[in-house]
Amino acid sequence: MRRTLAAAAALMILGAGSVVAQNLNPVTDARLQNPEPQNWLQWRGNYEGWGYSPLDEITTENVKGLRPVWSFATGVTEGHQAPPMVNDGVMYVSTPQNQVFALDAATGNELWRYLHEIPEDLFQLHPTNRGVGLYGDKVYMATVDARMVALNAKTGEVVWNSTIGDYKAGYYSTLSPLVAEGKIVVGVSGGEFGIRGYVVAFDSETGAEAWRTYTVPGPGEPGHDTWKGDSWKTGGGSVWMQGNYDADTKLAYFGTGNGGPWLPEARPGDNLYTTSVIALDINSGEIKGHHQYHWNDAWDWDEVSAPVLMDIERDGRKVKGLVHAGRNGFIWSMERTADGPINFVAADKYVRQTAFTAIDPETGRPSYSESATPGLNRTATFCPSLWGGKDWPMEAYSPRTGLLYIPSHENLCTEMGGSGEIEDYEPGQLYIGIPIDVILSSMRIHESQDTSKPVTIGKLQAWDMNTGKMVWATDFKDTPFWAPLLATGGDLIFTGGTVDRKFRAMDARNGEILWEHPMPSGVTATPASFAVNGKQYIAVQSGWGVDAERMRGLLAGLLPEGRVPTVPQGGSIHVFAVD
Amino acid sequence: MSNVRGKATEAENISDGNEPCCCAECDDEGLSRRAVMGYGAAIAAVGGLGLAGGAHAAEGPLNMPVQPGDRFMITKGKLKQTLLTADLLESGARPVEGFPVTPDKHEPRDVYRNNRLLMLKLDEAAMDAETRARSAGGVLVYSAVCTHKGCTIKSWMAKQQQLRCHCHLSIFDPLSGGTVKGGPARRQLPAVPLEVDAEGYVVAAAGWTATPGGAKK
Repeated sequence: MRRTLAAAAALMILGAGSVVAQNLNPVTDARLQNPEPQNWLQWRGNYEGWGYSPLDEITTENVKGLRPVWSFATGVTEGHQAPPMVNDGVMYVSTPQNQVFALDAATGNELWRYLHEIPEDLFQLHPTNRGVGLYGDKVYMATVDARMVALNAKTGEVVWNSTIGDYKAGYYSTLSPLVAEGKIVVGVSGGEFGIRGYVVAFDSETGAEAWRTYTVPGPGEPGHDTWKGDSWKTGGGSVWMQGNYDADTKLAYFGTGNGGPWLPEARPGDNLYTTSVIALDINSGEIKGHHQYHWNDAWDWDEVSAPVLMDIERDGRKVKGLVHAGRNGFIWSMERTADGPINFVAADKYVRQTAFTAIDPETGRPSYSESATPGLNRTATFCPSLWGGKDWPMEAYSPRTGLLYIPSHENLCTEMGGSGEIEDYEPGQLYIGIPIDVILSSMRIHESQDTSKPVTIGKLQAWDMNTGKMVWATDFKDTPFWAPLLATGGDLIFTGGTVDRKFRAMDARNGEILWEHPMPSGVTATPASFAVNGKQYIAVQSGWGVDAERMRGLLAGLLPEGRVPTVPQGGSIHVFAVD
Repeated sequence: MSNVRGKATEAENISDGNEPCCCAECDDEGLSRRAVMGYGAAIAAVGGLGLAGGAHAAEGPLNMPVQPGDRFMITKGKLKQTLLTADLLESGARPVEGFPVTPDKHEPRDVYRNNRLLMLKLDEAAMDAETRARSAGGVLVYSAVCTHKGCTIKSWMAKQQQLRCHCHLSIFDPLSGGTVKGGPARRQLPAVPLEVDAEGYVVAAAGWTATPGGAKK
């Protein structure tokens, strides 16, 4: 009897799951431009990159009652970074090793899974994935072996599979795709392998390459004169985070990585368009505008995190803004224009920064302190560390509070420099210019900190970008803070990022921690919110790894024993709701 | 520097310099895929759009794992393009990088990327019995490919005499068969059992002790 009941229940679940899967609501440009509150259709929830859900059933008042609804094991370890995407009750989640799960968003019941076959000789410096793209009736994923895969959203079957790049030459992809105008747009990682970065677009239906735009211009292209000799061929400028998008102007804004190899003498010149934001015409791929945050990088300060599209009013001037909390320690406020050019507005220091001596008030171009600039024959100490004031974990913007939220690292610095010579380039092998063991021992804690007591490392900051002032900050001590943010209409910020593996809700108005829940592993993934049948849920992956773990390992060596715990490994998907 | 505190490292880099390209045969179409449908019940193998299976479609001796009788070519640093003999290595010094070469033409088997290996010499008395049996005059050959996620191992912790992968800080002990001493790796480094041939070159007595390469989970 019991078995019969179980079988019947399974059939009912199967039936329910099938109904969900069959009722696929195709994802259109119109829906992406005006996403329904109950859905989370792209990695930051909207094209503007806000990381904001208008859902407000879960509030600062009732969040204490937030409870687990379901969870699901991903079966893999390492750094889980992708948000659960939700389209009308179906959740799509990617994980390290390029798995995709389609689940019933309300129950966690599995509809299908896709397991990408990873080549046995792949060198995975960053084994992760930051999310799938949803468009039409397909699910898209860029892979660590530089493939672009389109899956049938109802079945998980491969519809097409195209080449992004050559993984054997060090090209790979970890970012979620930007989808718009029938294009699936991604970029390449590989800044430590001597790549020449690019953004590439595929036709959403056929997988044919529509355009490819290098972030390092070749001979005859604008900006090529900012390189000397052949340095452009291995110039870096990787693109490993999704761009944001202005649907009115059809311009995509992508951030770019640092120049490669790391040492500035390897590539004299400004090195356009590394450490920049570029405005790309979504239909042609043409670069219509750019702003370089800093020239001829020497600090491994990738600026791949795309700027948030938000209105700002600064010094009486109202602009359609682009705002980026840079790895270089400044918040860059810029104006985007319909034709593409990007105008500098302001730069506000948000963490201790020792490398820049001045910033031109007109152009935003920084001047450098030589003593804080590593070189081929110069070891230098600089703050923030090579991981920057903010690495990839994204800011969030709440239109309710009007605040920009920044997950930052404070009090960490780096001491590093070259060994006098740079190794020869070998495709697919490290090409950094700084000995690996120098990098592995490069982290420092700023002397102002007394390490006999807990040290503030993580700092969640809230900024009013109209005034350029910080409104509040909440500190996290003795822990890395790799904490992508979700803001909600209930005036809450959801995030993890710490070694105590807590997932938290904070008051978006003052930073007070209102709720926290211990997870199986640390949380470095992007939270999302969605609703099914009118009920609001919060969803996030747990699974610690990649650079959060690297920083943890180095921090554990700098602080007294026992202060920085190890973090258990293993990925899982979690969904919460209030009763 | 005065405003910070930190720790010095005991480690040094394994090697610098260059070596020939290791990806003469790049077949990036050689992938297979699968989708598993609903509740773990039905498994639907999806035809990979006419793509062939296997990551190494290129066949031939240079795409084979190390074979008995192979010598070893040093491919980086001052000894670049030299075939390995025991006297070239200093005991306890940082490992050198290279590939196995075919016995006849001495061509590097570098199309099979997981043949990338590390050659080092250590005190035989400090080795465990199994490792000592595998060595040739103190010389040991290990995979240079971390068993965690396939990164090339670049760091030699001279004081501890241990190998370290920079990617996720896995640590391996060459004196005890490449066993894991720290970090996320779950599998010891594969080794190549060695002997010395009639001409005095170090050669492979057998193939890899286990399949080299990173884990997929």
